[in-house]
Amino acid sequence: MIKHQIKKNSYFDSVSLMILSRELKKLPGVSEALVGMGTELNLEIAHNVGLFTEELTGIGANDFFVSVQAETEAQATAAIAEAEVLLNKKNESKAALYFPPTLDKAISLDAKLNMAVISVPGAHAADLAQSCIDRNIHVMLFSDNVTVEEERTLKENAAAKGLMVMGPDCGTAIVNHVPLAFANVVRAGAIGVCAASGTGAQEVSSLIDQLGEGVSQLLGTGGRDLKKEIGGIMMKQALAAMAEDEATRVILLVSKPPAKEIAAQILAQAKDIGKPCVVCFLGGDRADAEALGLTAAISLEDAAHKAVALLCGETPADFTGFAMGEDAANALAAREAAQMAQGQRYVRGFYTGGTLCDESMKLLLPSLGHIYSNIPLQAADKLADAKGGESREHTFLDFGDDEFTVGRPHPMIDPSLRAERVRREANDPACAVLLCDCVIGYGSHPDPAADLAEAIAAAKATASAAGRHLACICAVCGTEGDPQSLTRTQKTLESAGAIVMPSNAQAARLALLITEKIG
Amino acid sequence: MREAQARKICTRLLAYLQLYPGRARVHSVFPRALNIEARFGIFSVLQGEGGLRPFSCETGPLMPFTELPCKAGEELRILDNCIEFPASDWVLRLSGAQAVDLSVDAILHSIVPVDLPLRMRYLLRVLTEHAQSEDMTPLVIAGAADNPYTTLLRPRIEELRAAVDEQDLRAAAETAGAMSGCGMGLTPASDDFLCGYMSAYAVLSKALGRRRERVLPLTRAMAGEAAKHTNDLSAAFLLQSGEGLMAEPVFALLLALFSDAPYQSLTMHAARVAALGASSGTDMLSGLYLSIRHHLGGIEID
Repeated sequence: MIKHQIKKNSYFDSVSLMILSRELKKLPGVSEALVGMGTELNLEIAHNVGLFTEELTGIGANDFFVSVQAETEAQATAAIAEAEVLLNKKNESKAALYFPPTLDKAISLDAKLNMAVISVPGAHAADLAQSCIDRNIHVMLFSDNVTVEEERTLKENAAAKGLMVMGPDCGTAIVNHVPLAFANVVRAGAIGVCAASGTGAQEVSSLIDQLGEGVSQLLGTGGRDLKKEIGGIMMKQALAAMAEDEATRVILLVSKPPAKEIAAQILAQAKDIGKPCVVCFLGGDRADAEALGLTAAISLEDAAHKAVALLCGETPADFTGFAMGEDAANALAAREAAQMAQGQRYVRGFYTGGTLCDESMKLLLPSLGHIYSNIPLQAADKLADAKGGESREHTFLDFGDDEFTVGRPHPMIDPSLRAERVRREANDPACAVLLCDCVIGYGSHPDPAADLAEAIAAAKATASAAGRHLACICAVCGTEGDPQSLTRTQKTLESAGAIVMPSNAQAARLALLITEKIG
Repeated sequence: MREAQARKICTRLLAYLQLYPGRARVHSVFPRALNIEARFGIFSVLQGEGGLRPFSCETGPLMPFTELPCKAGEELRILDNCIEFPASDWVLRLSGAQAVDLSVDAILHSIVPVDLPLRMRYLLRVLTEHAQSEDMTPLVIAGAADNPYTTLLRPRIEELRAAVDEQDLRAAAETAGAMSGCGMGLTPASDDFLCGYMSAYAVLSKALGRRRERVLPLTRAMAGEAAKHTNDLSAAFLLQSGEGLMAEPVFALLLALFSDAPYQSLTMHAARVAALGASSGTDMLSGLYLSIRHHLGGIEID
C-alpha cells in the first residue's frame, strides 16, 4: 500500500527532512519511504523504488512530498500521519524559543536578570562577558577559545564586584536548582559542588542524587581556573559563595590536581569555611587535603559517597569496591575472561566525557603501565592520529577533544563517531574489553544509548563471528529524572549485551578485573 | 520597530541591492535563514555559524526568523542602507556590515601545489568521516554502497566529465540539467554536488592559468540548465555557483587547497564544509573532490 502527502510550494529545512526520512523508515510495516521536493529526478527515483503513483503526477519542483510504502493501508496512513506530526513537532519546539538580539534588550525584558549563559564564537565571548560584568550579571561562559589573559582579566573584574564567571569552556552548572547547559535533573539538597570539570561535576551530582541526597548549588569554574596563570580566582569565589549559602552544609571540590601553590590557597580557604569539605583532585596527592582536616576522595564516585556520608554525620571511608559486592564482581569478571580467545588482552575506553576518560585512565594506569590516548597521562603514551588511526594496546579516547569536534557537535550531542569506533574496534583480535560512558541529562543527545547499544550489539556480533568474545562495559552518568531516564538508558545498553556498572569508577575497575583474569 | 544589524554581506548582493531598490517579498522562512525574492533574484538573510553564502548577509544571533511575524509572501522594501519589513515591524540595517567578496575573482594568488595528491587524500578522509546514508559520497568513496540517488546519477558523471573536458557548453549544460534536482534535501543533493563541482572547477582553472573567459561561460551554461530542473531556492544557489560565487567555507577550503597552507587548516576547512546543512556539505565536498580529480589536466592524484 502506497500513500503520499503533498504540500504545494512548501519548504522544509534539510535537517528536518533527513530526520523525517530516517524516522519514517523505522515505523512498523513501512518498507520504503521517500521525502523530497517534486523535481523530475526525485519523481524518477520514486518510480525506481516503486513509490510512484498517479497522485504524484503534476507536482512540481517547488512542491514537497512524502511517499511511504507499507504492508497495510492502516500502517501507510499511520506513517503519513506521523510525518505530519514530526514536521509540526519541530516547529512547535522552535516556537518555545526566544532570543533577544542584544544584551540590553534582554535586560529590558526583565531588569532583575542577573545571570547570563554565553555561547558565542570565542573571539566575541570575552567582550560580551565583560559587558555582563559591567551590568552586574553573573556569567556562565560556555564558549571556548578565550585567551588566558582575557580569562584572568574577566575573572579579576568579576571577583572585584562579587560576581561569578563560570568558564570559559564551562559546560555544567546548577544554580538555584536550575540546570544550565549540560546538567542533570538532580534533587535539591545540601551539598554544594565547586567544579573545574564538566562531566566530573555531572558524575558527582548524579551519584549524589542516586544516593538519595541532593545538591544546593553546582558552580563550574572552567578547566583552566586552577592553573597558575588564573590562580583559582573563581574556585575561591565559588567557595566563598558556598560558605555564605545557608542551604549548603557540605562542600565538594572537583578538579584535576591544581598548581601546587593554588592548591594550598584553595585548601586553606576550604578549611577556614568550617563546613565539612570533600576534595576530589583527581589523581592528586590526598595528603595535602587530609593534613588540613579535609576529606580527600580518590574517585568521583568516592567523592559523592564521602559527601553524602559527611552530610549524614557518618565517618567517610574510601569506596574502592563494587556495589554488587566483591565476590559477584570477581565471578562476573571470571565469566567474561573465560570466554575470551587467545590474544585478546587489551582494554579500549571510548568516552564522550573528558573527565570520565581521565578518571578511568588514572584508576587503571598503575596496573596497566601504559594507556595510549589523545589525552595521555604520560607524554610517551600520546596516540598518533587518534581519530583516523588504529588503537594501540590499551587505548582510551576522549571523543570530546578538539581533534574529534572540529566541524561537528560535541559527542554528548552527536555520539555517532564514538559508535563507529566501537564497531570498528571489534575487528581487532587483541581487543578484549570495550569501556564506554553514556552521559544523559539536559544538553545531551535525546537518546545516546540507542546509537551506542546498536554499535555494541554489532561489535559483539562481529567478534563472535570471528570466534572471540568482547566484554562491553558501560556506565551511565545521569539520574532517573533526566529526560532520557537513567533506568531506560541502562536497560537499552543491557539489552545490547553490555554490562552496565553504577559508576564510571566501577566500570573501569571491572575492566581491570577482567584483564587480570585473562592473565 | 525591532532592529537588527547585518555583520557581513556578500559584495555582489550589496551591489545588486543598491542597483535594485524597491519592493521585494519574503520567499521562505526558516529558523536561521530568511529568503527574499527581489527583482534580481533570491537572496538570504542568515544567522549562525555556517558562514556567509553568495547573495546573503549575516546577522548576529537573533530570535529565530520563524518567530517573527513575517511569513512567506509578505512584502518588504529595499532601501539605501536597510531592508524594511513593515508588516513585521522589523528592519535590518546593512550600513557598517563587512562586505565580503565570495567570487573566484577575489582569489588573487592560487597554485597547484606539488603535494596536491596528498592534500586530496586529506579531503577524502574528511568526506569519509562525514558521509551520510543518502548523500553523494558513494560517487567518491571507493566501495561505498550506492543509494537510489547515486545509482541514478553515476552514469551521468562520466558524461559531465567528458563534456567539461571538451569545453562542450551544450553537452555540459544538458548533463548538468539531467543531474539536478535529485536528492532528499531542500537543496537536492545533486544540486549541492553541482555547486561544489562548478566552484572547484573555477578555482582549479584559475590555478592552472585557464582563461576566465573560457571557464565562466561553461559553468554559467551548466548552472542555467540545471536551475530549470529544481526548486527556486536551489536554482538560485546553482546560478550563483555558475557565476563563480561560493559559500565562505567553500571559498576558504579551495583557497587552502590551492596554496601551500598547512594540512591542519585544510582538514579544518574541509570539516567545516562537510558540516553544512544536513548533507549539503558532504554533497558539495563530493562535487568539489570529483571536479578536481576530473579536470586536473593529466595530473594523477589517486
